[in-house]
Amino acid sequence: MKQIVFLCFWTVVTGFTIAQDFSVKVSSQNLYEDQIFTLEMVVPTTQVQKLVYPSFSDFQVLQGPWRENFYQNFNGKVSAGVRFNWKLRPKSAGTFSISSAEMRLGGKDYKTEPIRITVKKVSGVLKKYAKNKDMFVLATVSKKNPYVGEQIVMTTELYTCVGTGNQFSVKGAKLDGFWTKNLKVDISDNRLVLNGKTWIKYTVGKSILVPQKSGELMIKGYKLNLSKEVQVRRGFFTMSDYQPVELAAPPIKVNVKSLPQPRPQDFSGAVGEFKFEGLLNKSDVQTNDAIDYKVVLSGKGNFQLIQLPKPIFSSDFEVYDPKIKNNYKVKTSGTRGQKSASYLTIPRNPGSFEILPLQFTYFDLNKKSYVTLKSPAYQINVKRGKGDETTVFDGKVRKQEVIIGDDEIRFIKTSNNVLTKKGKYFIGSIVFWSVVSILLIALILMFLLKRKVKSDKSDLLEFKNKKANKVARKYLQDARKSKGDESRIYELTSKAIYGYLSDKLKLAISELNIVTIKSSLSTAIDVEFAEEMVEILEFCEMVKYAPNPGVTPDQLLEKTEKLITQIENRL
Amino acid sequence: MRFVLFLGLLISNLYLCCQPSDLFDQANQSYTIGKYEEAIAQYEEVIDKGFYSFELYYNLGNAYYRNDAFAKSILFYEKAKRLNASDEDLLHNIELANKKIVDQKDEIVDEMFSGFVISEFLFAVLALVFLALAVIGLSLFIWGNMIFLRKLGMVLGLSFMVLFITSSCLAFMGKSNQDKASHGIITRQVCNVKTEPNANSKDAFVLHEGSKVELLSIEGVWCKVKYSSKKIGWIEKETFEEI
Repeated sequence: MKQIVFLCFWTVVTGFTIAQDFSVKVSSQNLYEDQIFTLEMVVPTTQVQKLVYPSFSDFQVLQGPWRENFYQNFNGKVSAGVRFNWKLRPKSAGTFSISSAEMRLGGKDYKTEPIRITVKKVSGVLKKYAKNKDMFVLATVSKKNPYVGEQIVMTTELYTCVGTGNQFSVKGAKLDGFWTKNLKVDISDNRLVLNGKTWIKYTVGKSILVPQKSGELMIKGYKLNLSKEVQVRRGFFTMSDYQPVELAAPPIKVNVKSLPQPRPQDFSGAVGEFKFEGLLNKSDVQTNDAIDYKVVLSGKGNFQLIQLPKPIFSSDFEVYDPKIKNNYKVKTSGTRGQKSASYLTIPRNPGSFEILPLQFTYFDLNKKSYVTLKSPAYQINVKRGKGDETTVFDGKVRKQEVIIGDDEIRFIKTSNNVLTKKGKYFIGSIVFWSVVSILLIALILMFLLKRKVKSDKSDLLEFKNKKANKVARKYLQDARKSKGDESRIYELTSKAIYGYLSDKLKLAISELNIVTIKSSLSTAIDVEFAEEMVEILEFCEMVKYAPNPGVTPDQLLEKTEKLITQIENRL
Repeated sequence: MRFVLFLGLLISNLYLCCQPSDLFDQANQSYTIGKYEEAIAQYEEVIDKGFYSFELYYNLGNAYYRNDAFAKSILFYEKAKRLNASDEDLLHNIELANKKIVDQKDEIVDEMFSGFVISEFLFAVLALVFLALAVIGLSLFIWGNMIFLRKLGMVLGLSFMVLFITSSCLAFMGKSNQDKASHGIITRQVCNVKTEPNANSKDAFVLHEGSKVELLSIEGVWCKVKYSSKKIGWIEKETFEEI
């Protein structure tokens, strides 16, 4: 939109001469958001016929135009004119141009140059921190989600819109999980505008961080102690004074990505971009000539934490400890340089040997994958040198120790995948107790069964037994009845005893005699009892042929009955 | 016959389970192709389901070792050692893992009976076998029709009975041994061992993760521990994990 203003006409004093240029100026062409600036247009005459203001639609007009007449007498040259002033503020970030202003004077058109203005964006975070504060400290990292081993830069900056003392002390942040190196910084200041106020930004510290583990890592605890200028009122005067303040940087969360799995077996932990070489200075030597083998790693990456692969020499070579050279520089753009290990080795035996290629595996940040570099294999031909035998070997065969590469853990066990339930034990379990009780019940059952079988088997015997008792008692009763006939009494008594014992001792009548009765009764009951029994039998036998020695038949029967009862009780 | 089948089924139901062992196999595969973190998660899942075995603990120890978590690795190796203390691979790996941790014991404590683990299961089975033999002996006593056989049956029966009781006792001892942890592994990076069970007391000495301590007694959140053969102090329960 063009705004055309017709001005009043002044009386002509010095004709149409222009002492000063018709111009438009701004206080700054590089602005920040919210930065207020002034635009001044100088019209070097008071007799302008037509005037067109520059257009600034991209800017918010805070004040203006202010008009001011001026009259100058400079070394006799007199100039007069009008100055117009605007106070403007950019509406948004970007590059804008303020179009030219135009005027017509005495039939001639004048035009000013258009002005380009760049408005820098100010991060919302800064604006937020700047709210209601006059100074704050901010720590920022160059990358918030690096890989393990990838270098990032942490910058700490002090923002202030008031004066500060020129000394400060820093308490570093807690950087658990990072390898760190602080870089030297030249404290530089830089102006910027936040929320309409001018702030000064000082870069206070710069550190290189290399994350060592994956996951969320917090950077916190960074503190800055300094003094701040404050206005103190003393009577009529306000004076500036310094007051100590402690500023803490808000914590930063860094999300460290772990390197992709699976990791190659020989992955060295190196992250970056590398070149890897193995260099041999000569390949045809004589015994006891020194050879130099150099392992060189160059490029960009986390050199601090890299271990170079170790070459394997034949055991016929004497190898000295390598000279390790670290020649790298830690910079904000990355750690660059090289690391090398040079091995001095002396072949002691002639022959043809090979230096196996070395492998170096690293994680390439650009390709986002693992890269394996290989050094070439070298062939070394060793000829027997002069004076060999005398100096080194003395004709002896060198003994070589068997070196076992046993510094790796053994592989997992995959053959048996039987698992046991935790807290479940076999002892005391239901299964255990049921097996125990089954076995015990089996024992008891067996015992009972045995008794049952025994009783079944002995039924017949029992029957016979009972019958035997009856038969015996019948004989004895018959004997009692046949009073007077003594020989019949004795015969019946002996019959009763024989029959009874035959059934009881399970012996046939034919087998029964004094001796067998005595022996079986003494084992079954006891010797005394057997003797008594035998006595009665012998008595019965005797009285058949000899006179009665004075035992009445009643006494004999009683004694016999007693004995039979005893047998009945005891067998 | 049917009874034996039933018993077999019962035991297999209680002691074997097909699903966790599948997971165990998967974990082994993950380990084999180098996905150690995945393997750890899978092994831990099997443990969370309430299962254990010597192989499980050993393999998990290996996975942690590969992941550079040496304290955890030692913890599980030691757990495996409680189940089988004579496995050569295990002893080799424990030795390597112990070289990776901060605290290096200046003396080698000769652990007596370290190679001998009372297996509750073994002794319980033995007890049952002895009981069965005792029953056979006593049945010989009951059924024998010769005096000699009956006497022999009696003697054998009674002596196997004594053996049954002894091995049951050993099995119960093994069970209580397995229940109670006697050692722990420090899992905190740095652990200040105090002279008294009190956070304000003086430090007796400092231990780092992966160190093995003997647990002596417990008082609230504090545990009295012994490191190597002389050093005794108190640490908080959360700084270590029981083997």
